[in-house]
Parts: sequence; C-alpha cells; structure tokens
Amino acid sequence: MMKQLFKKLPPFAPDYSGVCSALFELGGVSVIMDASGCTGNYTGYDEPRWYEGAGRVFCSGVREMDAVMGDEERLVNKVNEYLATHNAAFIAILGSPVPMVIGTDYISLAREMEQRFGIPAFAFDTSGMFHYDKGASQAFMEIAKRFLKPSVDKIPNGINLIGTTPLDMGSPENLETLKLVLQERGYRVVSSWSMDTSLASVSASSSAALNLVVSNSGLEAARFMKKALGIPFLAGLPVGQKGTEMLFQRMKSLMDGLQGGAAAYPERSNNFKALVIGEQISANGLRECLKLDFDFQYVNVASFFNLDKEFIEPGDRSLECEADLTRLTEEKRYDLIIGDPLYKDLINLNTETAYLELPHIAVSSKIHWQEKNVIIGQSGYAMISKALKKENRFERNVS
Amino acid sequence: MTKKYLSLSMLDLKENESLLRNKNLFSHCLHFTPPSFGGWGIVRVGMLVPGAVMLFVAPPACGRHGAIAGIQLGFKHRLYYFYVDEVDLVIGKHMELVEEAVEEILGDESQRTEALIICISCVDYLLGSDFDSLVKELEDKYGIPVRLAYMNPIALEGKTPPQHNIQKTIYSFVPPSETKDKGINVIGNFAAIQKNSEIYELLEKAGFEGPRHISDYERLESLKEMGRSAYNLLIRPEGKLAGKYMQEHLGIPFCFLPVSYSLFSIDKNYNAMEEFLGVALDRAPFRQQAFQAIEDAKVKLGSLKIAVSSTANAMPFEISRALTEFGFQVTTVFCDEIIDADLEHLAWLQEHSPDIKVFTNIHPGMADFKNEGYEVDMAIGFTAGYYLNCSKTVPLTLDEQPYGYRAISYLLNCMIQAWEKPQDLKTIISEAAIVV
Repeated sequence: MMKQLFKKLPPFAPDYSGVCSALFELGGVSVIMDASGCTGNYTGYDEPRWYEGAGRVFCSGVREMDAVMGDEERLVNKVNEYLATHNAAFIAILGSPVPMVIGTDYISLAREMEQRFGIPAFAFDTSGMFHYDKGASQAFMEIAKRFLKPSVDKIPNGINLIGTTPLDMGSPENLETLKLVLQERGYRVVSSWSMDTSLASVSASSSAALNLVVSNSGLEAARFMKKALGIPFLAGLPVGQKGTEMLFQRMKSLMDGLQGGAAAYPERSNNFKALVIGEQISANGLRECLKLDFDFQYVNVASFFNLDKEFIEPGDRSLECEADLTRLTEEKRYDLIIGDPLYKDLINLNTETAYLELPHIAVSSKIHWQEKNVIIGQSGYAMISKALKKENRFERNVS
Repeated sequence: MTKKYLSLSMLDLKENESLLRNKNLFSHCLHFTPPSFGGWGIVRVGMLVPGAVMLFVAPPACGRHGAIAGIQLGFKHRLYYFYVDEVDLVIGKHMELVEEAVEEILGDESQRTEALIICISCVDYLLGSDFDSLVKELEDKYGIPVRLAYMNPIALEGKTPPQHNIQKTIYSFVPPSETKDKGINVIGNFAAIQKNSEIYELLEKAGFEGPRHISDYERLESLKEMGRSAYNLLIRPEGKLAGKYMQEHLGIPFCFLPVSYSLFSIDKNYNAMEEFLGVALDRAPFRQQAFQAIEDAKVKLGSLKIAVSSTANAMPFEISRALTEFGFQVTTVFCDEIIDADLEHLAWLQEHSPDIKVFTNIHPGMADFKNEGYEVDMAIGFTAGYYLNCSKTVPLTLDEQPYGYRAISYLLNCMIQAWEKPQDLKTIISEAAIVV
C-alpha cells in the first residue's frame, strides 16, 4: 500500500486554509497567491463563516504568464488598488502550490508591502502540501509576535483561548459553551484566538493570567507567550463532567503558581479500550472524559494531524496514510472509536466496536458543518452517554 | 477602475461593448470568491466517462473540493488521490510513483475499471512533466483507454481553459466509427437534456435518434454509439473544444445552439438546427405551449423585479432578455464576461431595458456588496441570490438541462415554485456541491 495514495479519505484542509481561518475575524486582508481553486477550497469547503460574513480573503488571480515572468509587482499593485478603497489592519500574503514551485520570495513581497502601505504585512510560505494545523499555528505565531504588547495590568481571572478556529471547534456552540463554562467558574475570557473575536481583543491578550490552548495549532503561540510575556498555559478542553472538573483543578493550580499534577484515575471495573481519532487537544479532552466519566481503561489518540510530544500518552499514534488507521484498528480491536464519520470507511467495523461519529471540519468539510456537535462540559458527557447506551455491554459504564 | 465595486451601466457597455469580453478585466485587481460561485469542476465532469476511475496527481490541497463534492454526490469511490511531495515533484520522481499507484488501483479486482483518467494540476502543467508518455505506457500495459486531464486554473485565460479541456478529454473516450447512423449527440452540457423536452420528439419524427448524451451510458463500450452519430449539437460553450475535436477525429460536424429561454432565441436555434440537419421540425405546437406557459406564469407571478447571474445555466443577457420579454423587470445582472452568442441580447437589452445595472461576481469590492441594500423580488442563479440575500432564488444549476421551448416552462415553473416555497439559500448552495 503506497503511503501517498489515498483511496477513501478526501484531502484534509490545507495549510493556507488554516492561516485564513485563524486570521478571518481580525480585520486584515488575506491574499492567497493562486489561480482560483485554492481560494475556492478555503471559501467553499473550509470556512463555515464565509456565507454570513464573507471575510477579506482574496485570490491573487495568478495566470500562466505571471508564473513564468514572476511579476510580483502586479500583486503589489492589486493590493494597492484594494487598499485605495478599503481599510485593512494588516496584509497576509499566502503561498500555494504554484508560487511554491516557482520559488516566490514571500518574505520580500510582504516587506515591500509593509513599507509601501504602512500597515503590518505577513508572509506565509503555505504550499498546499501540509495540513491546516501547520498554517493556523503559523498564523497564531505571527499574531503573537506582531500584535502583543506586555501589559502591566493583569486580570487575575483573565483567560485567553488559543487555537479556536471552526476547523477544530466545529459548531460555534462549542465555543459558546466553553465561554459559558469558564464564566460560571469565575473566569473572564480576555480573548479568543480567533473565533468570535477582534484584533483589539487579541491584542489585549497579554493582560490575561492564563492561556488555555484548545487545539494543537495554538501550542506554538502559547509557548512563545509564556517565554515572552510570562503567561503560563494549559492545553485542554473541558469535556464531560469529571473531565471538566479535572481541567479546572489544573487551571487553578497553574494560576496559583502550583504545578498541575497528573490525572488520578479511579480503579477500573473493566478493560474497555477506546480510540479517539482527531485533533490532539480535543481528543485528549475526550480521553479524560472516557476515563473519568465512563470508566474506560485504555484510551488512545490517533491523528493525521500534528501530535505534540508534550501531550502524547503511551499508545497514541501519528497516522501518515490510510493503511495506518486500518492496521491500528485491526491490531487493537477497540470497543469504542470516536472520530469523523469519514474515517469509518477505513475501519473494519464489527459487532465488537462501537463508532461514535464526531465530525471534524478539517476532514469532512461542509458535509457535516451545519450539525451541532457539542463536546464541552455536560454536552460531551451526554453525547458519549447516548452512544454507549445503545450497546448493552457498556451498561456498567453509563450510570 | 478604482471603484468600490465594478458596476457597469448599459451605457458603459454600449460605449465599450468589449468591456466584458476583455479577459484582462480583472488582471489589475484581487479576486473575490462568493460562496455561491462555481460549477461542476473538473473531477465531476471527468466522472461522466462511464466505467472510468480518476487518479488525481497533485499537492493534497488541490483535490479537497473535488473529493468532498464527490462524497456529497456519490462518486468518490471512483476517485483516487496521489499526493505529490515537493522534492519528488521537482526531481520528477513522482512520475515513477504514479505508475506504482496505478498498479495498485488497477490491481483492485473489486472495481470494474474500464478506463483511467490521470488528472494533473497547475504544478505539473507548469513544470511540463511528461505525462503524455506515461499515459501511453499505461495504456499499453493495462489495455484500457487512459487519458490525461488538467485541473489547471492557471491556464484559465489561455487557449485551452480547464473547463473546456476536460470536455475534450471526456469525448476523447468516444471511439471513431467508419459508419454513421441517424444519431445525434448533444455535447457541452453536463446533465442530459430533460426527457420532457420536445427535442426528443421532434428529432424522432424527423427520423433521427437521440439526442445522445455521455451520461446516458453505463459502460465505456456503449460510447461507440456516440461515435456512430452523424451530428453533434453543442449547447453550452464549454464544449467547443470537444466539438472541434470530434469533428476532426470522429468526423462528426457540430453546430452551436446554446441553451436559451426566449422565444426569439429558441426559434433561432431551431432554424439553425433545421439548416444543419437538413430537415424541417414540426415545432409550432410546442412554441404555442411555451407562449401559453408565459401567459399563465404572468398571471401567477405578476410583475417581478429580478436579478440574474452567470452562475445560472444560461447566457446571462439572453435569459435577461427572455424575462424582459415575458413582462418581468430585470434590474441587475452579475457576470464577468460575455460570449459572442450573448452579444446580440446585450444589444437588445441596451435598447429595451437600458436601466439594468451590471456587476461582476469577482471584483474584490463585491465582498461588501451583500450589505448594500439592493433588493429584488427574485433571483436567477445562486450568485444573484447570494448577493441580494434573496430567499426566492431559482438556482437553475447545471444539474438539470432544460432545452427548447420546454426550457421556458421549466424556468417559469421553477420561478413559481421559488415564489411559493422560498428556501434557505445557504443550505441549497451548500448541498449543490459547487466547485470553483
């Protein structure tokens, strides 16, 4: 089986979609250097917010002659024309396969624009060869580097949510519920990077006492902020009942200047095994919930996207090709698998394995993005509980 | 040209009628992509070839929209993706790997593969990777027809734009035939002409068979029938290269008779068809039915203000003319270019409806248009519906192909349906699986 040959799964959301998604609400103008299809991928298939409030993401309209002649001045002029009638907080120039092949110097291009237009300009060497999480991570880093200023006035209960994009968060209700749960616990959300947000609130992030990283793509920016601004971070999502309690205990410890301890799992009454396939931080949240609320003995996380070493647990698996997932599920014979519905095509599902469909927009795109799948707090508990109740053998796991 | 959005009056177009024909109209500006923009895309058109599978060779990103649309529409099982790696691409190693990939795909006996399309993207097109030789080798090795297709929007303004080129590719699977029958093919369209179109009856009465369309066939072998046809009716401009190819290689002459909605244009199409086929078609009763349908619809709908967009399955000025002749008021047209066949309708509108405003779909200022407060009673085409936030939108997509006088009743029935049962536009756009 060739690693580069994909027979069942669609290509995942690419790096440039990750950048655009992270910058979507921040008031800049993003330009994908492509002919049309790359921008169409993002606007039509990776951005559920596009219909309601078409953001300022444009296609540069690269044509054969532009590629052959490498006429980058034309792009500068196009941006100039746009800025003559529209305001923008910044310019983001994104690569795609064609400029990658012709070796476009994005950095010089962004530098020239910054000098000429007097607003910040970023370059992203995206190529469509990588996944969205890499692009989103690059975008969050640029925001952190370019827009954050040290704050003397700290908000003791202030929290930044780092890594919120629809590609990972899915339904907007997840973010709404997350904010509500935090508010109920007495926290104040200073900023959200970058859903339901603005550049002003993101720029004020340095006043927060803690960064809560809710997806893998927020980790690099959070590490940078820890080093540059001294803001500690915790990576996790409050999923389920006890999972939520656990996360809040860790947050409190960290904000009180204490080291957050490892989770203490209760004695198991069974040896049920589960696999969560998806983005690492949300998958880890589901893992906590399965272990703490539903008494699962082993829960592995597998992902086609980046797995950060700091948050990996034994048995977790990085997936490179379709066969990796098929093999993993055949070897381990999980009792429960949670993942995007499209992964089911790669798994030999039998009566021993229950599958809980949890759409991931970076995988299945618009096929499921109108569905409300909320995993935060009690909703996550209810969702898993409902799935387990369908199978008699999980009777003891569901109280 | 530094305007908030590119708005053209009929007068602008009269003074400089080449404005929408100038392919450089947008070369100076960034391009906006409304969520309603797109069509079938290269992959879906390629899937019209019966029994064929497609291997898409490209960076992963390039295939996303086509694959998701494939899942939505049920043809993903015939699509395979080979993800090229940056280094392999530059040194050309990916060509060898593609051979391996083909072996793996064609070795799968659960698939009854009758033909293979290898689709490459902008990068291989730019690098000039020699896929032509590879295709020949694969054809010899596996004994099935293998063709090369291009999803290369970078060539949009060249002589072989991708949406035209793919039509040529799919018809290149039609084998030549030394003998011809009385068959007539219809090409350029994506779905077969609706079975209630009078064209079937008219051609049959005149002694012809068809019109035959590629989507009518379930096996590759059956495409021989299209090769035996004596004539090609080209009804959408995307099929022009295919028409020329079939004329040259299969000896089938073609006549361009574009999908139309006005009595004037449909009469004109049938006149040209009669001349092309050398027969008279007894079409008067169908014309009378269409005339009656117009009268009936006017009673039901009254006088409506309508916007039209080029994303509809129509020539934008021709359908605007039709609607104007029916008694409605077309106020707004969204389009980016005009084809030759639509010029006379633009001229007619300049004389009879000079107040129409023309906007483009892709000028960057259009990102703000939705909130500008323009209002109409009905929209024809997704983009008009999107820009004007109109719940009474007739999608008129490429998924249905009306033709002839019955196209008029189809359009009017869709309008009545949209008027009586408005739909959530966002949902229908999303479900339409359109691809840029």
